[in-house]
Amino acid sequence: MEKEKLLEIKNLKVKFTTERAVSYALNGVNLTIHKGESLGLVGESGAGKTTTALSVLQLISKNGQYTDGSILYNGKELMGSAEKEMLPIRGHKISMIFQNPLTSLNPVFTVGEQIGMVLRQHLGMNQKQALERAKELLETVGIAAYRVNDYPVQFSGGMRQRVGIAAGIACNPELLIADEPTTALDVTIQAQILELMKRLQKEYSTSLLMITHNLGIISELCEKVAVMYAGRIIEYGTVQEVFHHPMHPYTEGLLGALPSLDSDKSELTAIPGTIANASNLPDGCRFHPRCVSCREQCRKQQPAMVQINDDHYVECFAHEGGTV
Amino acid sequence: MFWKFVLRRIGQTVIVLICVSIIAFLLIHIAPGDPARIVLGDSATDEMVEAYREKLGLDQPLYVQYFKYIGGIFKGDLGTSTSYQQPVAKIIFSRFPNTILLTLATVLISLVISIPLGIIAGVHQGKAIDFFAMLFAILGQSMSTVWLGVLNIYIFAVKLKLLPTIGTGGLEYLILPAITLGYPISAQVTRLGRSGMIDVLREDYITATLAKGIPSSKVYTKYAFKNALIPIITIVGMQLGVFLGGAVVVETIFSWSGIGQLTNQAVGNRDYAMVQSLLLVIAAAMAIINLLVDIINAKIDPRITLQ
Repeated sequence: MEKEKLLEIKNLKVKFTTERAVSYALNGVNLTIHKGESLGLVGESGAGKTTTALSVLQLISKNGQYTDGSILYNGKELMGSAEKEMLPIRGHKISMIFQNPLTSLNPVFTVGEQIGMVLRQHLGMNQKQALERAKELLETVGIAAYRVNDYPVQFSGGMRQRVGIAAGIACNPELLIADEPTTALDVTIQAQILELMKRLQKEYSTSLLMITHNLGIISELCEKVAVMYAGRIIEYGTVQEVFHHPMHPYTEGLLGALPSLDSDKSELTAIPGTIANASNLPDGCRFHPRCVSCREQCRKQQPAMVQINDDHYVECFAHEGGTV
Repeated sequence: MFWKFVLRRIGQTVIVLICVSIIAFLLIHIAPGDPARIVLGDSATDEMVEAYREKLGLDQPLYVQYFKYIGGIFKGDLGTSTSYQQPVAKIIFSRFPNTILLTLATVLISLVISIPLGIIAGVHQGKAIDFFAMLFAILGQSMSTVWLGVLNIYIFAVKLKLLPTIGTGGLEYLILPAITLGYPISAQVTRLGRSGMIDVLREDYITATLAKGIPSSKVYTKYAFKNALIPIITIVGMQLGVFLGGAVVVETIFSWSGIGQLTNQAVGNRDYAMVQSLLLVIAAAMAIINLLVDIINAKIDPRITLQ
């Protein structure tokens, strides 16, 4: 049975204009998240992962512009919505956990206030109720309730990320967007945070969009994975399919760059070159200058997304026709 | 943590006040010439000067004189003004309410305009309103107080006849000096507020707050502004200290009989006891305001006491 679509991003294009250049961050992103599903969005820094997430909340920075596309949430168009229409969605239906816990909490407000503000805004709680609920939420993420009146500076990075998660789940959202929630943390703390997210996702049956460049996290937490390169999704499918039968040379490269303890692989293979410059994108397939199996066609034409099977899609000329 | 910080700052303030009292005390001895001779003038005989020295206690060792001086301060005795022939304390305390009134009016007028203007300009960086706010600020910071004071009198009192020119009195007398003093402060606070807001709005935690579904107007005025407030409080506090010490130029231009005008006259009249005590009062006002500013900032930003 086809699961209900929760979020559907179609042909999303975003550009940022600065004094020096125009950078094309998103160049036609197509992405669907179904209810209860957890999707991993993976790619190098600068691929447009965070911009995709912020676009969903309609919060890209002032110099950014949505040039095309649509974002449907439960069938409702979010693109171009007025602030008034977005408010009941942000932090309530769709909430976001940010990358750097050291900078994503306001230093001059207590953690209780920063969790409580969501509850007051969306659930109509008063100051006292919100504080009581904030204590419970802190306990849920493994922080003692008495610390509710402490300031972010009194917490370690991992603890601050727990606060961010507590605020993220405060209204029991339908979709939780986690933007590299563990990148800024120590490895041991990373594991704790992932364990916590895994537990909460099960408990709250929330859909999850996990943004990361860590493939291990994807295989740990997600059912589906989308690989992003230069503002486009270039491969999409179940984690099982994509990780075991990568089709796109970029995905192959990413997996090849992953150290493994139990394989007999003696050397890591790095993808040559650097990620495409968003203000000077190559023609044709954005990946062609770095691609080992680049053809003449790849330099001129943007490949279309082709379906390999029910659980696997790829955007590469090498797989046109759907054959493996 | 917080109270420990407050106690430490109070301790520091007491030390500063002791140092100031020593300097104020020594002032009379540093000044060229014999204080008694200066007071009595050239026509006085040596016997008269000697008698006066004894009367003032100037023949005693310095430390004895200092402790007598400090003892006097605690009894409210700041000496006798030579130009007024009255106790210094009485004159200063009769003038002080005027200075406090002018200071409060100035701060009120300047903040009412500059804080909203700074926030709006910062939020709408590069827009027309930002341009006008910056024009307002640059004008305010470029004009000298003397020129602005005279200009205000010319426009509002002489030409439009809306307000009295000079003098000390009710609200109508307060407006022009307060605007003259307040405009440069207003300009500075507008700029600080604007740049503070621009910096804060770039922070991740502001995006995170917006992502929680908090209306942007509330995010700007509550969650972002509190971060931009610290430099503003510091600057306003410093100015407040300066004004409490008397705005010499403005009080003189507008004949506002406060501490500033008194200082100007006392220096002109070589009224040593008066200058000495004014120095003490001004320094004390400054030190206490600084103390309050630090306590308020520590209350706003927990990082000050916690880190």
